[in-house]
Amino acid sequence: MTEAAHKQPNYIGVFWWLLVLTIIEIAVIYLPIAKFAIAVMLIVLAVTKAALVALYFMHLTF
Amino acid sequence: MSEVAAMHAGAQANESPLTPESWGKLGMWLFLAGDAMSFGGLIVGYGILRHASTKWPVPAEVLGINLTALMTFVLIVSSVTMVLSLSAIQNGDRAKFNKFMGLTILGGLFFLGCQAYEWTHLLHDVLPKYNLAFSKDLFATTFFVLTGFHGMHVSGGVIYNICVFLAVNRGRYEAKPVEIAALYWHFVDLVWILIFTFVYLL
Repeated sequence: MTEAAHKQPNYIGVFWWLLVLTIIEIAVIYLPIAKFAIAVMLIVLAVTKAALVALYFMHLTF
Repeated sequence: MSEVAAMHAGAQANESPLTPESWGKLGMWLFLAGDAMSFGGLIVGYGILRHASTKWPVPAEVLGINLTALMTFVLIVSSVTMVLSLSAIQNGDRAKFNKFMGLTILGGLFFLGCQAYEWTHLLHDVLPKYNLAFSKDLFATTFFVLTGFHGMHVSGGVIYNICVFLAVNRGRYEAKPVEIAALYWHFVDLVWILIFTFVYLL
């Protein structure tokens, strides 16, 4: 009923973001920087991807 | 917010404004919250054991990233096809639903196939080389427990999706059960995103 009230998110757009973030994650582990910096970046990237799935695919945003 | 307002407007006189729009959806979210605690416990336990260890192997060297990156990609794509299948059935497009739900199921099966191959390869070829073994050292044990627990969830999800696919085609289900199954499938994808990061990359 109310699901149609707001327009559908751009699922393909979210997918491209997920793809880009995954590629960046893989690139980050090869960077010649401190392990701690790599860890922080990976956690931020992973949490962002998780948030995208939760907010848009699981429809948590209004 | 708009959902709450609409719920309020359509609520019966004696119905609590806290009555959810769908009991099934609420039930699934509650289940996922509990499941998140299970996975959270395993991941945090893994982190603590790894942090306390002095000689933890480098995952990228032992486990290899290429196949797992492909698995991650396929699982993310299957999440997209799942949400597109939901969109299709919400618009009453049965053919499109079948196509995208079919692709989601195939994606899940592909993921499981890759994992079976990865596990076999690790058990027979790779881990013995590094003198690692399940239940003999923490690296191998935590790896198999974490990825195995997740793999079981994927297997359950594939069976769940097949059941929903069949029920829709028999005319027994419409959009709501698909939406609920989609929540489970997205959760499984989300957990994999975290496992991929913490077990394979970090």
